[in-house]
Amino acid sequence: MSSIPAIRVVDVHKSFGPLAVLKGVSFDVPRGAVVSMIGASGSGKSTLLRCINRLETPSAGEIYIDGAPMHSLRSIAEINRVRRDLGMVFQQFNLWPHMTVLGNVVEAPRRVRGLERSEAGELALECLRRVHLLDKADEYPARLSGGQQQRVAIARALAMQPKAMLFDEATSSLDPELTDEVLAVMRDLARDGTTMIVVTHEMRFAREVSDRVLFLHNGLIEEAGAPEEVFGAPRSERCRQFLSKYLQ
Amino acid sequence: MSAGLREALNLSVFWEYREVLLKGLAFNFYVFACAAAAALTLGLGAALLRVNRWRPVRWAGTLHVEIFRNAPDYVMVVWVHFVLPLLLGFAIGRRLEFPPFLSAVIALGLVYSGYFAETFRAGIQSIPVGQIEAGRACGMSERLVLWRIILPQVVRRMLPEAVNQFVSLFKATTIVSLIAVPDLMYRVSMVTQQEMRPLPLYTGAALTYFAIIFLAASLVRAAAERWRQKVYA
Repeated sequence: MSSIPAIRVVDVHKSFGPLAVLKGVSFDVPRGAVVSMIGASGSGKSTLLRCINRLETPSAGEIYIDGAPMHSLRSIAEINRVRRDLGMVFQQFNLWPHMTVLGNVVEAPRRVRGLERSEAGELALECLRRVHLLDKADEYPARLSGGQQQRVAIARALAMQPKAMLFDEATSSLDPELTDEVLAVMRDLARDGTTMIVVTHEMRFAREVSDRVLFLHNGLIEEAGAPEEVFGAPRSERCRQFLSKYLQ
Repeated sequence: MSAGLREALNLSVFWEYREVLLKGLAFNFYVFACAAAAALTLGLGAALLRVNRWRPVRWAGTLHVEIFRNAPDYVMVVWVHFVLPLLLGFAIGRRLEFPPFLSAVIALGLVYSGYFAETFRAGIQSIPVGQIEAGRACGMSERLVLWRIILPQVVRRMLPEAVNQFVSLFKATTIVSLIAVPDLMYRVSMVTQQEMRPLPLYTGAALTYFAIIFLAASLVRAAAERWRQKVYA
């Protein structure tokens, strides 16, 4: 296996006007690894994720996707080419309501990757099978529960056959009973060796599934390590306080 | 019933000239179709300027909307037919004249592009930004995001408002007789001069326009509503 990490983040800064949200963040995500990012709201987790696929432009620092520099890309066409390799799942699902479930999943492989209709259709059905929604292919998103919508969003991202998946609080807007079905799909992906960065407030999931956990505070990685280290014996006081609230 | 009222309601003369008048009505439809195409195209262009991230570009869009949305149809038709060719002719250094049909299409197309631009803009801005980001995150170009994610939803959302604007545009085609486009009203005026019976002729024209607009708008509204409900079920 190549030693080049799937994602490398080097000293990334991001400011919105005078507000510094990221103040120099560095970490690697090896291929096939699951990295969870935890931390309080406003700590910079989502911004970091959005910088990785250039939905936000970092103010400084370097980001490499499979060894290719993302940070130095200027043209939108080049950025779009790299984005194809990063599947993104959003907190609010962001499905396209005018397309059926199958339409949502087939759209990017057809239009962006240029696959034939039949090939893209087969790929989309395979992705829907992975998220256990094959029977909902012809429904419109409005007819689905939140958990089902989020699983469609995961299938949509998978259909681009990305090198890594980015999950931005994928279960935060779901009722507790719907959270489990989404987490189960994410567990399956992790088990299949999918490279993943997961921004989450689901501490149990982060502990069970992650290879590495990053605790962000105030735009910096305050603590990083294997889940048993971060959850079992956190070194930083802030991390300890944060976890104590969640694990109470 | 007074003699005048009986005369107004006796539409036999209108019926007698039906062939000539029907050809005039066809011109209303031609002007409507061409002006609607121009208004939608220019309106979409202006709306895209209005939502651009660069302020000077947004200003250009606003200028377009404010100028044409606030220009009365009547004034624009006359201005485009008589003044615009003079100005353009002066600019290129030779005499220029627009055929009446072209003037009518340009004038109404411009005026209604101002209205359609605002409808498009409101529709575009109503699309949640997350849906657009989801498209970008899949590697879709801005053009693909516009054509595959934004516009199909905008069209559905703007339909009720757009139907009202199409009705207004069709009604506005009745003023093109001013610059001698041979539409229904123009022909009614011609027949009136010959027959000297304005009451039944103008009543016939009024009833014809009412029937067409009422039927077409009702059908389109019903079809549009069914389509919207099917999609967002």
